[in-house]
Amino acid sequence: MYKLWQILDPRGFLILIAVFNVALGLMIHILLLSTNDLNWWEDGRPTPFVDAAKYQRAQAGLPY
Amino acid sequence: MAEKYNLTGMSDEEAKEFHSIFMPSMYGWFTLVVGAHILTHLRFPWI
Repeated sequence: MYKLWQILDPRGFLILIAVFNVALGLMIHILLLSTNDLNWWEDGRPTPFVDAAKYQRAQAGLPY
Repeated sequence: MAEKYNLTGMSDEEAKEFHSIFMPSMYGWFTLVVGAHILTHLRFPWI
């Protein structure tokens, strides 16, 4: 398996992996933040105020 | 086939050395990613 690096240039491959991972991560984060269900910025669920958020969600009639 | 094509000019020793660093790094990254997904799913279950 190590002979792969005699075919693929290790430096180019590392750069390719880095660019791919950053692009994939940015794409998924933007995709999730653009949805209603999976947006963690505007879902009324601040971590330090779990009970308050639960109350607010109940008042708003949200099911979760 | 790989014996015939050495496009990068790396010796066997160099390729083995890079491979010995690359593979644990890749598995470490996968472990980190799986761990991040487990933690995220605990907080915000999506399935």
